[in-house]
Amino acid sequence: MSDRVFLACCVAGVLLLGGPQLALAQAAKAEPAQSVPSADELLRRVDRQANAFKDATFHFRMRIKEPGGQVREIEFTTLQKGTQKRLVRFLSPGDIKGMGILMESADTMYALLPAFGNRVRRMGTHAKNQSFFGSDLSTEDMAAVEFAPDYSARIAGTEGELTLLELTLRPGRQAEFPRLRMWVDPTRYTVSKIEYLDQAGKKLRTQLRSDFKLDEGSEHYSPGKVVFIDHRRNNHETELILLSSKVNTGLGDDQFTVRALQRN
Amino acid sequence: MRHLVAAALLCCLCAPARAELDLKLSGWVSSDIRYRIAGVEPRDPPVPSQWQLLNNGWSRNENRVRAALSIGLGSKVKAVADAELMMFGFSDLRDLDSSTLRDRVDPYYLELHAAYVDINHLLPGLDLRIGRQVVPWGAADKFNPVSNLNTLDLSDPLQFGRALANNMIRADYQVPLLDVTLTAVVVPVFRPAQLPRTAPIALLDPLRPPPISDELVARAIDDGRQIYLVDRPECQDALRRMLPACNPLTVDVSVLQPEISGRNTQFAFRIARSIFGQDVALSYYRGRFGIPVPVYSLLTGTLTQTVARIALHYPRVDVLGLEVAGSIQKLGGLGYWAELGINFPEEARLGLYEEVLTGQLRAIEYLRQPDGTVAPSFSPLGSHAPERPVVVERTPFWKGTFGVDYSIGAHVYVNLQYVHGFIDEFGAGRAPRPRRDAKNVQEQPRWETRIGDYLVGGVDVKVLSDRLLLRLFGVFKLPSLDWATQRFDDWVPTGVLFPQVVWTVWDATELMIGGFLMLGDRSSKFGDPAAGGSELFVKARVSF
Repeated sequence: MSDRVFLACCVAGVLLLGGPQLALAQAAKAEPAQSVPSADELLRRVDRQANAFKDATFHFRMRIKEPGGQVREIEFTTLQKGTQKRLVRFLSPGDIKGMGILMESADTMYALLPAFGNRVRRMGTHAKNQSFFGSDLSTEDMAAVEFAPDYSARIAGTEGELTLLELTLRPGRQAEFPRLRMWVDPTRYTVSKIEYLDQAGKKLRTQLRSDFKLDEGSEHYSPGKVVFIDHRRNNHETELILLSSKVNTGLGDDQFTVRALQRN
Repeated sequence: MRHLVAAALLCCLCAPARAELDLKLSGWVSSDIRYRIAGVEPRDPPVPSQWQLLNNGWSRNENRVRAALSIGLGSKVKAVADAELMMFGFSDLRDLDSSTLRDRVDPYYLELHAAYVDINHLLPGLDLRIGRQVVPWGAADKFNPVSNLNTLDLSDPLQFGRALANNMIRADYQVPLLDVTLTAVVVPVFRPAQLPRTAPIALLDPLRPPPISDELVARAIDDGRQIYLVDRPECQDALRRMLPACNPLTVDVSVLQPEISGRNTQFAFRIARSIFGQDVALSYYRGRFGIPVPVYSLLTGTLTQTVARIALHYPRVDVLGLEVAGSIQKLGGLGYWAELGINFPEEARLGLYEEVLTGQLRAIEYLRQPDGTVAPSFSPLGSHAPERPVVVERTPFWKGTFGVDYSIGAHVYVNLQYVHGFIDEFGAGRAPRPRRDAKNVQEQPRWETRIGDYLVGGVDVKVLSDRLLLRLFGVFKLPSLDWATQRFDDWVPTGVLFPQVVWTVWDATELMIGGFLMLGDRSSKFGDPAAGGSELFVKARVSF
């Protein structure tokens, strides 16, 4: 009676594993700035670069830093095609090793449970609500494939070579964070920092991106490191380290099926 | 010859490496210590204490080591071996000789959970898996009436729902353009379910009412067995002890395994696809139910030492399955699943024989009398075909599971299921339950439908950055209606509570404490000693 229970404990986080590459994918491929774009246009360019590849394979290590000084490490790979199809496989630690999650679409998710005879489970999307091993990634990280449809932007200034955008939730839209502050490289459209604010402007969470590298065979930049700091949890910190990435390798649709998930 | 071997070796060594080798090793080491808190008094026959349901006592003292090796050869071929070594932690000594045998002094078993070879894309869209494997069908949690290819491991309630691997040939074919997956499975040799060590409490109890559908016949057999209750007042007379009526009945149970023939080959088919975002599958299974039922009973021995030799067999069954699962976005992504298995069993009847009274083998049948009662009738073998009471009716019956789950916030998970037909239940109609007091033969047994109804639910709460999981699950039996007779169960409350705390002490290191509490009196589903007693447990596990 506990396989789905166990699964739900993990699956939300697994869903969030889409988040890292989505977050990382916010990094943009180089594109010459021909003129100074408006704030909304700049945000759209950030979005366009978020999914600038047809398919991608990422290998991550997540480090969850706990208040007592303990660090929990989770290693996984993510295969992605388009903005919907995603296959995540856990490599460590041992208690989740071999588990896999398939997202065929935003509403269709499956989990592979090696501990239960390699059973594949269909999951309700409520599982997105669950936390992921106590990390600081949220559902919004997963869902925020694009910012422009949900937020309007205004340029609030510059810091060095970065442009500071202030994002406000559009009327009728729903999101965990109604306001964002985003530091954007206006030449590569990469995002170096995001602050997540409540309606009153109180800072709830911070995301830092660094160590950008050009993915081989493309003009896509991936940040080698993303740090999430949750100020609501006493500055609880989660690091995502990108160990390797490959884009546009020609992943087929048949690699994003239940059968592919079972092949493990 | 030697040249040939050398040449073959040379060819192998010189063959170019054509696929990348991918080795993965995983597994765990665990310890599991349990204390029984509500068992039953010891039985008369002297058997090793760990196999009894003592009122209190250490019930498990296990260590398990599991290791799985996966060998991938490119994207097409994969071989998997997954083995588990289990040390019971109790000696099983019955005589001096056994004390010289290592496997009796320190018993263990080795279970191979997987040993198969995958050949993917054998033909376009076709995958093949051959070897020892588990094929888990069904959309529900743990209660999967459509998953019948593998029988269940019932040896440990904490491993509830674990399937036993078996040798199979499985083929999956993805129909181009239709998004339909076809699966066909052949199981050459039937593997029975692994029964719990407490099963003999039921099977060897001479005073337990027989599982016969006909109430009058069951009652007549039950009444007949009461003569073997030796502590009745009338048996205090020494003269009466010369008769079987005042001597204990010994029950000796044997199991008839299906012969390894083509006729007993199991097979199954499944077709699955997504319809409007919901997963739908239809399946068909032909094989056997994994828990045996009695088909022969022979009273033999002497007047003062009667032995009932009972033979069990695994009833044949065909199962049509339907499963649906999905997510309801309008209800916040509520997960749901429904699973239905319509069973078409082969009839099983109980052949009754005796050779004690006259020394000749005679068939026993229970015939209806003009006054509406039934009485035993004895006839020599071959004189006519005696009427045998039905143990498994030919009437089709269904088992089903309907459930939902939901996450409340980031830390709470809720799961609820209605289950029609527990994993060990089989057959239409009703059957008698054991008595509340095993030796109170005046008590009439309760009758319940063979397929019961249950509410299964639970909640998980995760705290301390998900390092601490608080879990409470429960199973509660509901009153059931037998549609054929329009009679409700003579219901008594019974259920299981399963509280558990899991502390992830460090990466891949879990410490678990909890309890498995069986509620209900002796006549109930979970209060029956054969279901195992209530236990408290502490477990530790490190995975790699």
